[in-house]
Amino acid sequence: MVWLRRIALGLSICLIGCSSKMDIQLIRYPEAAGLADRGEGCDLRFLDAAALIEHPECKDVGDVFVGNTGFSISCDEERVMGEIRLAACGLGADTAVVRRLRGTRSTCYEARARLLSCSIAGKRGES
Amino acid sequence: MRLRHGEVFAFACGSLVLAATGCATAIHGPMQKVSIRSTPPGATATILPLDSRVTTPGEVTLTRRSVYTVRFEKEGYQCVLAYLDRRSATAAFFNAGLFFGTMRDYETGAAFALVPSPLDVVMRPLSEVNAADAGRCDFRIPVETVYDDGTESEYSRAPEQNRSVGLRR
Repeated sequence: MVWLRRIALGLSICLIGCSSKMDIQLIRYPEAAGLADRGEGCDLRFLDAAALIEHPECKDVGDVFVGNTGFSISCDEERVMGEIRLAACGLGADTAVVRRLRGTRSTCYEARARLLSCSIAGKRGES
Repeated sequence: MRLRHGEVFAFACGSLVLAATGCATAIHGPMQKVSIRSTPPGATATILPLDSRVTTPGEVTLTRRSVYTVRFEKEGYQCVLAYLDRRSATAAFFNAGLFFGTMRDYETGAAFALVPSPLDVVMRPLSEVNAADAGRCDFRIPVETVYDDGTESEYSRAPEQNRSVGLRR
């Protein structure tokens, strides 16, 4: 039964290896050209999907999807928001409009965020 | 009718291969054909991040594993940004917990379905748009992912027509 143990060990290693990963897909729009990386943990406004971002100084610069790889275990809301922040800051966005994806039948928190650059609004200190 | 050992072995091997292949991979494969339409037709739809273009109405074949943003542009109309999201495909549930099959479906992307399909948007003539908004794309989000009203695969007309409710959790 040595071979059975080896298979079990292999599967365990595979599961542990996969479980910490999340599926992160960043889509960069042409409008993001010229925006500088704002650094990890930058100041970012999180708004929910019902927020109306039609401010004339706001522009869509990209969007990011954070979801399940199929075997993700560490995929709670806090982790997902952290990944969104990381992607947004790297892109140079200052606002993320977060929409939780429904109907995925996944136990993971999955979200897609619209990333915006609202330079004027940010300077005015709007929240 | 009695089965011989060889037949039982062949059946077991066949079942194992099917289980390892993944039901969704076997049923609909890792690619999905998505129809892209607009009103009026004849708009250029750019599929990001692939940066591939199609004139509406048209069809594109995309991997189910990714999410996409489609940018519609047409002379005299405000451009539109629309999302193609992914959701779990029903076919993946036939794996019924079989590890290798499930793993294979996620790996190939066959475990997912792209929504909405068809992707259909209505573009607004620039004459009906405020001057301040003319240079910015109109943004559409799938209603089904925001509201719990049973609506499926339908895009909101425009962001300002969305109900002002918080993100449901």
